[in-house]
Amino acid sequence: MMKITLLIFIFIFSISKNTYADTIENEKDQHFRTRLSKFIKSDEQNLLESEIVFGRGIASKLLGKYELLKDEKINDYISKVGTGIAAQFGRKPIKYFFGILISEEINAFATSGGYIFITTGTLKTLENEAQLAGVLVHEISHDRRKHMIENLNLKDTTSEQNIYSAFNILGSAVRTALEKLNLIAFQILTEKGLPENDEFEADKDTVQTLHKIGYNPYSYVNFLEKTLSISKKTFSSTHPSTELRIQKLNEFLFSNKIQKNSGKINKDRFNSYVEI
Amino acid sequence: MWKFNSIIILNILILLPKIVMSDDTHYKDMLFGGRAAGMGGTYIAISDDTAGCFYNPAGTIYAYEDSISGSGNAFFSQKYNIEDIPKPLGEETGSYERVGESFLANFFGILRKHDDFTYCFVYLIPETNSEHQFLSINENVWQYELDWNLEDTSYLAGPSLAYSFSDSISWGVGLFYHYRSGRFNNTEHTNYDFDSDGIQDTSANFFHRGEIKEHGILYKLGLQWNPVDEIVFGFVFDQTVIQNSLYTKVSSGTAHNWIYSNGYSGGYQLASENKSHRSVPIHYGFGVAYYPSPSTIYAIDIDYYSSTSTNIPFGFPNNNYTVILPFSQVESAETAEAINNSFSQTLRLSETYNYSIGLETYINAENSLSVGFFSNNTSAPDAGESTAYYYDHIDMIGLSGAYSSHTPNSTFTTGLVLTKGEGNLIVNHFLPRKINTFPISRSSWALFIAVN
Repeated sequence: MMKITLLIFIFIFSISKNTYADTIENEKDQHFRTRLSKFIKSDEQNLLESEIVFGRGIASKLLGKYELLKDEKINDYISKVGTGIAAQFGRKPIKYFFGILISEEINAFATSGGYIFITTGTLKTLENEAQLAGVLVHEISHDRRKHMIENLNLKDTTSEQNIYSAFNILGSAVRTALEKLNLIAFQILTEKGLPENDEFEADKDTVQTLHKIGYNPYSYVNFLEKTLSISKKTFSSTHPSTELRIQKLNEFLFSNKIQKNSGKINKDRFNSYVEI
Repeated sequence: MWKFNSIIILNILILLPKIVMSDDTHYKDMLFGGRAAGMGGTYIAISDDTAGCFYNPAGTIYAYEDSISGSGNAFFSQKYNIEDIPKPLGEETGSYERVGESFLANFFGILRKHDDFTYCFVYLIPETNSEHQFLSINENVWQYELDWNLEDTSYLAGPSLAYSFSDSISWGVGLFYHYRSGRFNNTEHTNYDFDSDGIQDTSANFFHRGEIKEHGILYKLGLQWNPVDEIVFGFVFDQTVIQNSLYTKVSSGTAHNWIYSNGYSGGYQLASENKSHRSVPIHYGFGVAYYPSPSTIYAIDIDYYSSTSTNIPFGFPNNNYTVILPFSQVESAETAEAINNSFSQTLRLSETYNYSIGLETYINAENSLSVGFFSNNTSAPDAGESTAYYYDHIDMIGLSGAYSSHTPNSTFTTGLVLTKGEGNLIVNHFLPRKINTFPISRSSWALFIAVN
């Protein structure tokens, strides 16, 4: 048995000398007790990381088109409101980033992976914090429901057709194809818009969440009504008929017996921070 | 006379599994846990998972996350082989083999982590024997039939706690309830040819039944210290204190020889009950683990077991026998009593060391291998150092290996533990007074699985 033991130890030892080469380089700062198996990422983690990288790519395109507002006071405020909402409504593993794009266009974007942008044009149109919260919830809802990923047909986590496989296959083979995917997503955000049903879903999430976290849900409807009234300019060309959205929201609020004066609007606080 | 003594010796040897049943002379009979078993139980300086809650609670502070773990011997088999057993007639000798097999879930544990401390609850079976055997030997001059049934299992269950003093020192404490329950019963029937005329003219029948119950507490203290990164020292101290015990045994036999006028015909009945507590050695363990990379661990453990401070009942204690009717060779109950008193029915255990080395390595993040080598030395004294009726003296060695498959949330481990040892069965005779030793070998293999 001693000979067998010795041979087995030699065999195992010879294997062990080479296995560290497989260790992920950036994990070297882990505690020395941490075993290699702890570096395994689940499919969900892989998908999430790919989605974040993908969303970051789209965000960079947006920042190529629009300049980022560098006003610390407003940025802090938007981030605080957005982070508070995300803590309750966002996806837990996602760290949300909120940015303000300098544009007169009334629009907001969720690139997927937690990157949320709102334009200065939108901020000028908003009247209170409840409306701001409404816009942010609407975009977080797109992120939470993975509308962008779904529209690129990359949502299925069980098949090969998901963002992780696309990202990795393309990443190793044809990097430009990923760039095209980013471009399609960018066009959806800035030109084509998401399908009507996605917008209706996000609207419904918005009023439900506003009500849940103590904001007045009708504020969001008021905001949509205001965008409708602004010189024939709708909220955005990327959104479906604003009239239809308002109608659906009112029906939803009425059917759920939500009082018009329920919740806070925080107008003063909004005005003290948002001065554009 | 010689022939008759041979029958008695044979009977004693056949009953050897009584020793197996109360194998209190080996301390590493069963390994548990996935990684731990794969590394030959070399875990004092590692213990960073649920199995560590028992091996060394201090190590659990380094567990990666909360976990629930279970492991079991998918199949456990052990074999005893005794050689050179004298047969009733002539100078011929033979060998006798006994095999025990079992399926056993022998470990379950829950581990929870908090900021500076970790707590666990574990249930484990550190030792078990299960034997059911029907043996029939027919060699013309003698026939032997045995129906043997044995179950003996020790259980431990309880909590452990680990606390981190600093980044490099942690301690742990465990308190486990010890419960042992065992019983055996067997019947034997022997026919043999006393006068060698080709006719079986003598018969002997024996019935034995025994039970063992123990309740106690095992307390364990552990410490881990890594003075520098990559090297960890581990220390453990533990002892089982038996609080309540009961050993009972009933044995009876009859023998008849119908050839000669000076033949014999008689029987006996022995009954014993003993409530004195078995004394369990104090265990000190020391281990070193070297973590050269996230994919490899080398570990060494040394375990020391003290000699017991008092004599312990060996097997089912034979003191307090009531001799009702001895064989004709034992002329009177007084003689039997004298014999009983002149031979210790207890066995003083010597201090013992065990050694083990273990290695764990990853093929990649999803697959790892572990291998271990360990000793399982006996604490039984050498021949001549004890007057206990009979006992075995076998130093065992073991080899283990395991394969683990890892996912982000779980680990599945399967492996094999092989043990082997050779030694002597020591029999202290009283008619006449002498010591006989018989070569004895013991081996076992266990296929185990674990999920963490």
